[in-house]
Amino acid sequence: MLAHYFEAAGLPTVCISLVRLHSAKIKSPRTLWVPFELGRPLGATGDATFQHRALTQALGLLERSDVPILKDFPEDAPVSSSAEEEGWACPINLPAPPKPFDADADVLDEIEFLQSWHDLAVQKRGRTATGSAQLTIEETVRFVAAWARGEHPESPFEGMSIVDQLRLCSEDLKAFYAEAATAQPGKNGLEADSSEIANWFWSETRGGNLLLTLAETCRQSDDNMITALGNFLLVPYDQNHRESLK
Amino acid sequence: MGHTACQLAYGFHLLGLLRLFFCGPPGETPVASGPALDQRRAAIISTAGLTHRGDRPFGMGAADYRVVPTDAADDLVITHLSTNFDRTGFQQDMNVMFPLQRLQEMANVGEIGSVVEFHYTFIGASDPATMKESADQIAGLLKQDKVDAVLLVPV
Repeated sequence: MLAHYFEAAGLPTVCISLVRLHSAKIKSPRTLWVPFELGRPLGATGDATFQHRALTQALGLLERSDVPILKDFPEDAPVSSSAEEEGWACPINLPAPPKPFDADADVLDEIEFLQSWHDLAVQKRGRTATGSAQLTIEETVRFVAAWARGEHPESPFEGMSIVDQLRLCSEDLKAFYAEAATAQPGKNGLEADSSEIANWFWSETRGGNLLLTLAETCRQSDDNMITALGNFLLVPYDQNHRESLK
Repeated sequence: MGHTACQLAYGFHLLGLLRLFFCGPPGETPVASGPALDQRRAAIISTAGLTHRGDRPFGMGAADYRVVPTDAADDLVITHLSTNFDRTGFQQDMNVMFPLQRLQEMANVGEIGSVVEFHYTFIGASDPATMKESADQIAGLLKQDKVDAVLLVPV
């Protein structure tokens, strides 16, 4: 609908779409549907040539006025070489989570282990996507661990709800791990795809175990919004089958 | 926002999306024209819930927007509510979600005319009807900036 608003105001628009069914219904003036996964509307990371091809096809629609136009991009995103071979293996050997699981100490140990890899990632890319919760990674772990234990510390930022603080902390923790793990190719020289990174995080890391524990704790809350946080905003649907290690 | 208000906002957000999906958009599809592509001035409108680090995060049902100056685009984080889309692509390469550098390259070789200095971001998971006021504000800003190519990029 944003395209409708802008076009009605006299601004030519073109949309990239990841959900063809929605676009067919909404009938924006010009839409290029792309067969890529959610979160990657330009398809391939680090592949400027491929991204340029998608953009060229999208922007090329601007010179047409026979709206509404819904065009399909004819290429799939390049597949990571790991999908065709033996699969990505994280280049970092993390020690297995100890039992019983001490949320603070165990995750902070793992963070310390990963820090140099995360520093490398930031150095190589010149940026990081962590920091949405506006806490250091150590503060993030301590805050999340307290809630996972059933304690209820207040949000450190006035005006930010606990739901927002916890979900942003969760995403920052995931981003830290993913950035560290992808600072270099996997053990077998292969690049990870998004599902491999997700499976590694949720099944092999203490950070993933912490977030599974947090989700389980939130689902038992008497507060409907905290319950909803635990049910919908912490663990992706395709990882919901996992249980925390106690 | 209090919890009751959050619940109400979420309910209206769902109703808005359902209405749009089942009834379609109101009215005909509008159309605006412009010059040849190599003379166009482009801007990005993202619905990925991108904000600057330290800025207010997008919340449930948010209908407001954030401004992304070109020289601050390296400091973006994702504050979208959904955990069900991949974020690792953006972590590794901003352009897979916010293709600013790709547009700048196209302008440098003359495939498009130019790229504006200011782009805008929304969280797409809100009732579109509530976003019209923000869209109208941005439309005014884009026109002032002589934009004639608006690239809307989802998440």
